[in-house]
Amino acid sequence: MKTAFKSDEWSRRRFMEGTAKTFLGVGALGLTTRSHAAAGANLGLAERVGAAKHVIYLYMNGGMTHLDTFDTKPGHENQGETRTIDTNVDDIKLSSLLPSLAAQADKLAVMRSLTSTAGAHDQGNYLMHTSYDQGATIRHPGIGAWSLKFKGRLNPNLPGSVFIGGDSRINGGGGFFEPQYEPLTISDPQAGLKNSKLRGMKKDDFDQRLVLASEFDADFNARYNVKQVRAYTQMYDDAVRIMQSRDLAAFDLSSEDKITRERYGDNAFGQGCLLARRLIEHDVRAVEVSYGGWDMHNNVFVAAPERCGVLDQAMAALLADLERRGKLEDTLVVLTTEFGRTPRINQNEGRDHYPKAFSSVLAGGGIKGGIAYGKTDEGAENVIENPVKIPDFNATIAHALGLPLDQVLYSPSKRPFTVAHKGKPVLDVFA
Amino acid sequence: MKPLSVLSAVTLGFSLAASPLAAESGGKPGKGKGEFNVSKASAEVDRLVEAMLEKQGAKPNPDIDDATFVRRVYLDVAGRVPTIEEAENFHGSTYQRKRQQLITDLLESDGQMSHSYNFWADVLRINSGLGVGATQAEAAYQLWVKEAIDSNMPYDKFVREMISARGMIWENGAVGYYIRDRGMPLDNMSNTVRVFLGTRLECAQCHNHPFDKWTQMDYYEMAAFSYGMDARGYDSPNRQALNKVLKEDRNALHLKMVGNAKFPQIRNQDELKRYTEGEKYQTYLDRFKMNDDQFRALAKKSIAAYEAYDHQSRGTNNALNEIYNPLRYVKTAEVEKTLKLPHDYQYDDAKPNEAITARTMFGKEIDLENIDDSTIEAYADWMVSKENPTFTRVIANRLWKRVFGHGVFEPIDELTEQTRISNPELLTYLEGMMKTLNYDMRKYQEVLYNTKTYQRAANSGEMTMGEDYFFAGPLLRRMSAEQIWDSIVALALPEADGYRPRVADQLGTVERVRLIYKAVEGRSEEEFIAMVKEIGEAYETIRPREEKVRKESAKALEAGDKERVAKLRTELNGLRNEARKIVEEIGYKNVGRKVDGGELLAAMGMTEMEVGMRDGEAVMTGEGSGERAVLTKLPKPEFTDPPAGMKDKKERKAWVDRQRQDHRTYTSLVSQMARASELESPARRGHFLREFGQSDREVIENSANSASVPQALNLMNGSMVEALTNRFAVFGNRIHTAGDPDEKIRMIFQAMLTREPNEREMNLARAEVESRGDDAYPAIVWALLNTRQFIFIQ
Repeated sequence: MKTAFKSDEWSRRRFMEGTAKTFLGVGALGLTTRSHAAAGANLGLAERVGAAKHVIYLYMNGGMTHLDTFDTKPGHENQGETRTIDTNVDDIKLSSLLPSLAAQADKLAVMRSLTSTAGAHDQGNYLMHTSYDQGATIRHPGIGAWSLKFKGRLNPNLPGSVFIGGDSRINGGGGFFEPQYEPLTISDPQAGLKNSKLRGMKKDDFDQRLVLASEFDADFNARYNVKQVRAYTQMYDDAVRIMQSRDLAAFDLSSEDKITRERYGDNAFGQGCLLARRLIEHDVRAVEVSYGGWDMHNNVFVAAPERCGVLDQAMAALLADLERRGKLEDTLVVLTTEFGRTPRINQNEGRDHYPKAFSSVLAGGGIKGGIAYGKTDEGAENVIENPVKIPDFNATIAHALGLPLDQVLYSPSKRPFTVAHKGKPVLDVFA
Repeated sequence: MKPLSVLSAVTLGFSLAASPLAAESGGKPGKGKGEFNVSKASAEVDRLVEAMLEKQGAKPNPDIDDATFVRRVYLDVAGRVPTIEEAENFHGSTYQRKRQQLITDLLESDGQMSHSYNFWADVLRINSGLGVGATQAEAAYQLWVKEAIDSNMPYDKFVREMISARGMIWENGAVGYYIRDRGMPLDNMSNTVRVFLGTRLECAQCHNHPFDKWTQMDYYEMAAFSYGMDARGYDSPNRQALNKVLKEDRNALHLKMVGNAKFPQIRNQDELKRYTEGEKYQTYLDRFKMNDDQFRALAKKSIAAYEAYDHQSRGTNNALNEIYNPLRYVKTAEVEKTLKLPHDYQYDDAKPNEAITARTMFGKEIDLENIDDSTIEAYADWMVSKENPTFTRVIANRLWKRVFGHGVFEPIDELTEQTRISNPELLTYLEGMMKTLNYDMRKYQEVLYNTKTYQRAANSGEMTMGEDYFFAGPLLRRMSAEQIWDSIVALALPEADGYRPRVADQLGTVERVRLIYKAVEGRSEEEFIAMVKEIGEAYETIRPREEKVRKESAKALEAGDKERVAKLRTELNGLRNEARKIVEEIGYKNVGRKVDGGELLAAMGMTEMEVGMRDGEAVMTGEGSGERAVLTKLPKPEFTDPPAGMKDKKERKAWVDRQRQDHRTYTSLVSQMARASELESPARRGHFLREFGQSDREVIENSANSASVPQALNLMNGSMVEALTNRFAVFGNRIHTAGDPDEKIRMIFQAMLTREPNEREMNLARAEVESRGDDAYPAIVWALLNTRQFIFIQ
């Protein structure tokens, strides 16, 4: 593993850059967060050199069944109807519901030993996104916000982090960080960036209206020449610049050919993955695409094939595209969920919540492909090898992105937090 | 409650002219000597502020004119800009004390209720999206808070009712205070103390507070007061009776198949492992005088007995779960529950896991041995007592900040020994006044709004964090998300303030669970058990049908027949719905999906509340991008004929078509509009309100007023200008029907900025009209909507 010495001055400058150029937040909002540089203090890990620049985080909302996806147990009574197939890696077998991913298993680090105690959706979802327990006194930031905080934005014209998906409540947003760390949210990936096109007017009209507005505002702006007001003037300048920017095309799926779009799947998740790829190609740091419907208390063998079909097609297309376009090396792809599902099939032919043992996948971004990390017992009920707690999993993600795991940042209420809550990265999955 | 637009047009005009007595806006009428005098109190506040300014060598800002005042006071009190008519009425009045009168009227308006609700919802984190089973409790809580604001419930009572809230959600919506934080009693206490006592304790949950004097022991002793408030513990005698029967069934099967009632009931191999690999295994063997083989043989029978029981009872158990699904969070009760110190407690004054007795962190001690009521009652009394050292101080400062944009001390919810109070005499006076007024928040704010200090120019200097502010005038503030949205809504929709499209639905959902509760628990134990078993049996008849479909689905999947798989999946969903219908019919006696909640108004003490539905056209729109459809009833459109001068048939038809098209546009634009407090709240991600910083209601006071690019994009390219200028919108109609261009331009300035255009602005606008004709008006509205002037409150 490559490491680099990180001086305080260097990291502070990077830190400042990160907040100065903003998409969502405009103007120099003061840095209210006190940062304590303490690289290498506890875990003895410095930032990875050649760390991934982007993360695409695929979140399976509801609790993805591990037995029917990445941790099959052929022959065991818990397995039910799902079959197991070979992959393009000798030692790795996956569910028959994931044929396309099986053909690209050499890109995947399949982690089969995640373990947690949060067995309710919201709590589990929150913990997975933030590494902290959910409470009512604070909201913790997610990986996208942390990476922006430490690394800054790569493209000042675009948001640093984007959430794609239909869920109304999201965890792992900007948390207690300043408002500009909130992700931009897109519920319909095909709709483009909201309000970015002129509505019922020509460019000339638009320019004329802008002139008019600034004329009407002249007296006011002279009287109230304060930061708060200037930030709004800045915001309009930025907005107009973005409307005219080439980067706007990042949001436009219609510029992809029909074959490509179909390859990802004609559904919101598939198109969301395609949008994620476009966004990181335009240097957005972090994109989460969420996909719901995994809460299979009933009829899991009817429900899972459908969900898996969509997931398999989209994620496989994404990985293949990233590789072909040379972006897989600096893009970490994460597939995760709040918990697994009970190995024992219930009375309703379903599976219930099961945080004790479940699976997730990492790919790209310096991760070693073609490996399975960790192990559950014969019924996929208990982790028997290399348990990975959720903070450890997140520390692995953070490490892949080159984030300082020990650096403490303070909430406005002066409470100390770190990116993965003192989790230890699983170094074995790095190439 | 009177809708303000009507009030201003009729009542206000009348009272300004004819009712100087009512305008004597001090104290309670008819009480004679010793009554509270608002004007005197306002003057005293001004004196204290000015004395401090002088001491600092600073001067108060100049007074503001009526135009600035009317805009500011509408925004601050009613939460939106005044309509053209409202501003005209105010300016037209010759009544001497018209500012006082307007303040008094606004403080009693529907707009005030809506605006204050947003304020408290942000503080209390009231969230209508709390997930399965909690929606009804949130609805009841929302309605309760709105009613408390509307009836001007004194603040101490407001807090007391929440802190001590017990009962069913349909009896007492305040129980939502605990249901909001169900499962998080410690965090709930941290928030209580922060919001009402201005003290930050959350750090002390895990260790002694690093920056304040509070210890972890203080934390746990405080938490012990409300630890017994159980918002998840709804259980019923009926359910317990059934569980007892099930238990007996299980015991009987166990005895029959194992032959020994005392032998452990083991459910599966895992549990067996826990016995055989546990430390006490030998003790078990000794007790039953068995060797390992014998124990395992009997355990096998025990597992078989459980499986038989499981098979026999699964219908009943499934039914039970389904029946109680909507009744999960319908009650808060105070139960006996001991709070223990954490297992890693590290200080000398107690041991880990030690049980904690409640004790107050400051102020008067509560003698738990000698209280009449419950612990929580005693705690609530202590909290809201006038003797409590911080309770009054915090609300006096919180409302001061609400009016002036900055607290006398900051942060308003973190009082420590280091807290700097910018004007101690003022704070003491405010506290005293709050007590004298017995926590009448409306009256208190009336005093503040009537000060000269409030009616001065907004601060135009740069504010530095951590620096004291001495109130030369209020702060310049960006409108809140709700103020921007509500201003636009009020310009587009008629009588927006009193319009409450969701209330009927909210009441309906609460009433539905009440009826379900009555249907389920109104049964005798025997009837109840029979009912659950009946449903369970019906479930079991569905089971083989499900299995059949499942098998077919597996086959179709094997064959790669996606279409058939999808069809079978729909069929399975149909069977699940069939099961739910059985619960609805038998269990709930068909209470219905849509329930009229009218009766609840009275039951919840909301006799005065207007539901706010109005006659007119019902418009239902589909799910938009991030915005949920609201059923909006709009007044019947007034279609007009083409101008008489228009003779050409084609031209006339085009005119009529365009009018229809405009109406369709208007309908689609405003069908999801109501004041922010009357929409799903917080609004969904991506909604206008959220883009402008509406709180997500996850943590205390989480609303934001910082700039972000999506805001500019929304105002420039969103649909707001259309919603404002459409001829069927309130404001658009005024522009449409106004006379000459100058009048139209004036009207636009009045609506958007509550002022006349100056000469230069008038000429600019005229030039637009000359070059573009009628298309100029939307352009002028667009330009004004996109000014800083519009979005900042001067």
